[in-house]
Amino acid sequence: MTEFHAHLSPLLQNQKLGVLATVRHGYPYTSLVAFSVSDDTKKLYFATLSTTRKYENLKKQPQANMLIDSRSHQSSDFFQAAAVSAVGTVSECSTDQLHKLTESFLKKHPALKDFVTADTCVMMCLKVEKYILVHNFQEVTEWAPRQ
Amino acid sequence: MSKSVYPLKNAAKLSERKTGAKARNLGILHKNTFAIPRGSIITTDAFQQFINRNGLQQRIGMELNRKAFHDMRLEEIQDCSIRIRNMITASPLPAAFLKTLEEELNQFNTDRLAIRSSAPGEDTEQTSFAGTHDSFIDIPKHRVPEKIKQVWASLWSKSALVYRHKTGLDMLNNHMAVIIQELIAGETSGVFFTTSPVNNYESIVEVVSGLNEQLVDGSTPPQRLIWEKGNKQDLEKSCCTHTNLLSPQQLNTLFNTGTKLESIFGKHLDIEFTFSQDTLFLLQVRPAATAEQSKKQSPPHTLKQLQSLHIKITEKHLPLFRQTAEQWKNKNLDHLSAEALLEILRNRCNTFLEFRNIYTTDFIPFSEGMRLFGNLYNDTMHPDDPYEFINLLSKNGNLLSIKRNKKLMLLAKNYKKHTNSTIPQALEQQLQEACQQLTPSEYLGFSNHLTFDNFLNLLKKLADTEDQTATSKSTLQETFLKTSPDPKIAEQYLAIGRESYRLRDDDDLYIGALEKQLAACLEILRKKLPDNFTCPDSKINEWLQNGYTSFITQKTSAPPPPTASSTKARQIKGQPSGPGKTTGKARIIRNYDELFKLEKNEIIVCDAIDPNMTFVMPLASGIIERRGGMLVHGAIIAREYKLPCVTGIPEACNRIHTGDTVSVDGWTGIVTIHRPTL
Repeated sequence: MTEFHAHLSPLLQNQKLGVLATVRHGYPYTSLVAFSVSDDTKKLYFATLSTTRKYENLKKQPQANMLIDSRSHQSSDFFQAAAVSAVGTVSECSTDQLHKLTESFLKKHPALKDFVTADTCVMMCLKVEKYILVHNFQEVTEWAPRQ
Repeated sequence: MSKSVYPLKNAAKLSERKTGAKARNLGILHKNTFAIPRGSIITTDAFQQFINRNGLQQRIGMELNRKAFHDMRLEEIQDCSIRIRNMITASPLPAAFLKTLEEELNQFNTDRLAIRSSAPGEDTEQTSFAGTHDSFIDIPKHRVPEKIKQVWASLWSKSALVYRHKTGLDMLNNHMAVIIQELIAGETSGVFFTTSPVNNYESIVEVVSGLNEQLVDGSTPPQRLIWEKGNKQDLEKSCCTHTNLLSPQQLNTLFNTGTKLESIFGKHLDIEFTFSQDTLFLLQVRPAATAEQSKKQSPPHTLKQLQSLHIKITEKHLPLFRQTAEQWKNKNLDHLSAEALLEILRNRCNTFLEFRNIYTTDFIPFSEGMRLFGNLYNDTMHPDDPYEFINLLSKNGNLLSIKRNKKLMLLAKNYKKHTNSTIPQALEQQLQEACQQLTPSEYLGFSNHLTFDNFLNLLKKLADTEDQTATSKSTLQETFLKTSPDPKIAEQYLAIGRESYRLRDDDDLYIGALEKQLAACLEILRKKLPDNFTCPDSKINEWLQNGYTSFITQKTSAPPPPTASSTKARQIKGQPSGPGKTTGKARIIRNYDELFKLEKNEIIVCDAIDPNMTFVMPLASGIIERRGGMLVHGAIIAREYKLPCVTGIPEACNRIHTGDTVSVDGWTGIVTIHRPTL
């Protein structure tokens, strides 16, 4: 495993929430979302209601960025925390995969069962074109997974 | 603010966490009616309050985590230590603590004090920390506050960091108490090893005249007495023949004290002592050092030690190196038989190995002089940049490599005037000679592609470049000397720092000159020997078979071959080794030939720079080096040419490619690679 993946995997596996950035009226629009990751780490999944602004934003402009990090709000974060930005394009998950993806998502987030199974909730998929990893305060490395 | 200053005699009543091991042991001695110098303890609470008030815990944490510790070279660890030391010595002591300290110091009857470290956990059988934390003697009262901070800072001295890393101890969360004692100017001082470090059936006393410090730092050879442990008669016998510094009565007192102390502490001990008017004062007692610990010799680190090393280097080694290189160069080898050449090669090889040994034992330790001056400068000036002192070390281009480069620049300007006309014969000869001087031997690990055309191309590029070498800042020197409590001593430190800086760069050139002649001899011999020749000398045989392995190029090893990776570095963190910021095209230098491909304003990216390579520096706009340190050759030459420089970038040559646009931020140590991106 490369040093990059040694940092990336725990972030994607252990962190529950990420900050999703979409575009609204030309400005960045950020939302906190629960996410899960595909086995090959090329896709990130999150659930949203179809009435939300982020859903509306993504329908207009599907390019998005999700920040996932390991900060603990201690001063040691400066040298111990890592953060990754996942840059890519978001689409709704197709119905044939939905059951499997929802199951896997709920394994990580059992508290969201009612939310995810609501009729108005949509499972979204961020196809990652590039991960930008920052660790040890200023070390930045990029990885573009082949989709 | 909790109470943080106590009389030393009360140390046994306090926890070791507050007093540290050394102070607690002294408290136990006092409790058992042994004479110890009068003193006070500054507990670890004072240290903790100081660290917290100044927000130093976080800053030290950042510094220690700049890079994975196992990836750091010793020099980088030393740099890390200097930065932390400057953070601590430049931070103010709390006013309430200073008031308490002043009151405490007023109770001392003398202005000659000893300030000693006392860390919890040190001086135990498992973790001795021997010699890693600082202590100071003969300090007047008004300098005690600064010395306390210096003792605290020694928690992160290079040796302390290395020791903690090796033993798996925490490097960030440490504490330190400080002992302040009246200095007892005894007539005779020494260390009593109740059990020899090498066997358990003998006892040893090492003794010197006057203060103990000369014995501890190894500057004065002691008189040594060894006797069968517990056998007083044996001691009496050996005392008559081996020492005139201790009387039989004093030895008897020591013998009895050792026996009592072993019974009190329940272990073998090393006891530091001094005799003043026949009273035995115990200065320190700790569990006996192991043979391994006692074998450990600290490198020269005092001004006096470095001054005598300097004399040895400049008056003995360098003339010998120069003279030998000259003799080798002047000897015509072409007409000699293979047998005669082999004999010469054998002799040269032996001489070179001897010189290489001198290089390792004397030249490398002398580089300590720069940091010794650096610490004095930082203690005096408390600068924001802990490496500001380097500006004083450069003395207007007195490095050999800078002198060589200046000559080359002049030659380039002269050559430019004649590029469209016939080159005068005298100039042609100068050009040929200069080209010859820069040509490395093919056996030095280079492929010897320096053609005269390549050399002339280099001159054309140099001719269009301005000489940008830095001039030393005389105002900085003036302010430093004016601020120093003892300007005469400060000047001596500066002189040693400057010589250490100069020789750090020049020494490789001296060794390089010898190596070139050694390789030349090998080159001629190889041509004269039959293919299947085997030399009885295995080293020479290896060179004849596989080519010469350069000491210099081994030291500055070639970068590893590129490895395939799907990840791309965007920003890499290293050591900020030359201030400034620049953006330009990267030029990876993997071998000597690639130096000549360097174009004006490109950024050199290499594994390690040695002074034999730095003649292209006037063309560069920045330096990125794998080998880390503030005082490595790359950093020194970068400062001379005012080039932004970042060192200590792991796998620099693989993560950056020739032609990449890169930014070098020599203030923060960050290299950014600009690639088309999302």
